[in-house]
Amino acid sequence: MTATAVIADDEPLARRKLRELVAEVPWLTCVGEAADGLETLQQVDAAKPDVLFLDIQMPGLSGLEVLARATHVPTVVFTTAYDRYAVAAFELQALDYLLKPFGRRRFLAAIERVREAMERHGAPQPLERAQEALDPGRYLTRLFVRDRGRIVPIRIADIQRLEARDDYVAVHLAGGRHLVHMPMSEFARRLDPERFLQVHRSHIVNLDHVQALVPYDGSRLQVELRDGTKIMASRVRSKLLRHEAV
Amino acid sequence: MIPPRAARSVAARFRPIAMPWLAYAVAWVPFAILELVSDALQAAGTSSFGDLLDTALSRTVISALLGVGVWWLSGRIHFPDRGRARFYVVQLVLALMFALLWNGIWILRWAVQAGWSAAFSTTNDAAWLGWQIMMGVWLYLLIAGISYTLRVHRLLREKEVAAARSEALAMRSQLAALRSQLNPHFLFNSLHSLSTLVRHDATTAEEALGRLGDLLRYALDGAESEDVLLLREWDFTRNYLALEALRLGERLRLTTDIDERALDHEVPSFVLQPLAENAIRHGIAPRPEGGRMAITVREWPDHLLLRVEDDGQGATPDCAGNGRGHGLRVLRQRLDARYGDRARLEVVTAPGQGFAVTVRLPTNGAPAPDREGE
Repeated sequence: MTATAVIADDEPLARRKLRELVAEVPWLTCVGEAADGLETLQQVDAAKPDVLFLDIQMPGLSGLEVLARATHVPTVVFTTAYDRYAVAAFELQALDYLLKPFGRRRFLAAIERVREAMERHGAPQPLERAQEALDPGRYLTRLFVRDRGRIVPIRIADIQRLEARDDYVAVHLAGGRHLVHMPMSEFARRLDPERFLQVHRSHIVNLDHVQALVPYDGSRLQVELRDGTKIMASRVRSKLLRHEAV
Repeated sequence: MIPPRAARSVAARFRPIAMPWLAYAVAWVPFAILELVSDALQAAGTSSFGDLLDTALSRTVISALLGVGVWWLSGRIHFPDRGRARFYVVQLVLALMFALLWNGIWILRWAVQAGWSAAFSTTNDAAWLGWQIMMGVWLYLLIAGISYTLRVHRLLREKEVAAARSEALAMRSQLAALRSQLNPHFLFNSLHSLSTLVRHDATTAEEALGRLGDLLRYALDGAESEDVLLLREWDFTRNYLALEALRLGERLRLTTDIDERALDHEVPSFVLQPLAENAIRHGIAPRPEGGRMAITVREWPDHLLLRVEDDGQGATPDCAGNGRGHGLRVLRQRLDARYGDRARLEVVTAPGQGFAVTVRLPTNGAPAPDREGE
């Protein structure tokens, strides 16, 4: 397999690093570089690369604006130094990204994933995923998780509940659970509050899957889900729930 | 599914009001017993138990009711931090007034029950009256004493809580300041640039790492010490700019005009670097072609002048809706608190016309006059 790549980053040293790393990959050839949004757009449409390394913060057009305007759609590996919102979006959509500073090992891991995806599907990743997740005005309708090298789509409505587990969020479905690497608070921001209810610091439930709210003791409620799971709401949340329900 | 709230809430609502009154009533029980016992000893069998109980209870009720007034009054007249002599005089006068009122009501009640002549025949005794007045004064002082003790105690606890809260606030704002000083975007991008440099230009990378170390040290220390030599702030700013130059390459075109004499004046920390960072973030980095920045430091006979200009897109003069607004506001507040109106921060800008910030600091270095008590 052979593929072409374009590197887009406003910082010269960051471009140099990617150029050198790409040169180490036998099947990948760098066919263009861009230092700002507009130049990236021109390069992508002119060189039609298979892979685009895209810094999401660039002068001129942002990385996302570039993708929205480009006519050619490459497989994108996002790069960013510090943007919690974007990183959460990439995690939720199982998009490939590199956090700066990165070295050879992480670059090669990311590029290996790209190669597997390209060999399996032949076609690049759909970019609507990035756009949906990065649009701050929209709640998620679908997310994507990695499962043994595959990318599995999950309808938000099918999620029964979410549970904070250390640095991860466990997404519970009827058929099992998936782990997504991100803070609970970031996840909560992307969910429709009409449907998802935070009942505890580390528990969010989907109201469509809730059977009943049962008083447990004087100050707490227990949430019973249709599948029989019971979750204790915290005192503070129980109080809020009572006020909302009465 | 949700438990009924109505039944619970009546009791719950009643409790906070009823409890203090109940405690107050209970506190008077020993007084009633004391009255009963002392009257019984004095009467030595000449009065029936019913009469004695009647006397003791009515005296207790009168005292308790007047006591409510004392309690209320002690809430109005605050225990002073200074000038307590006046407070004590006022309290003594009030105690006397309380004693007169207390006895007046008692005599009135006696007269209503037993007729005026019976009441006056006993109360005309000067020794008895003097004793009664003393009792009244003691009673007042006791109630007021307890009331003030409780109030001062509560006040102290509230002060403690407030002090703890303001300390937490100060800590949080210090942390926020630290975090904004260490702009993570800058930090991680710089690290990324450095990780590229180490492969090709070890000398430059080493130097840049040294700069980054100095920068972090200053940012960490700066949260503690308010004033620094301008020399240190300028070094910090230079380190910052050198790292930005590494990232931005030719897009950053910097000219500096530094008056060496100005550098040994003391200035608030973070007075210059945030202006330079603002210029880069808002004036230079957003433009593909980059831009110019000019930094001027001058010593004048009565003040220092610090100026940072860029030729970027500028803003409307009030800076509303511009990311720079916040940083400038914080700096202005800090200068205000430190120097009052002896320091100036001026912004000259217009859309498309670049952005220039000038800070003027008084050079005699003395902090603003203590404005406490104004």
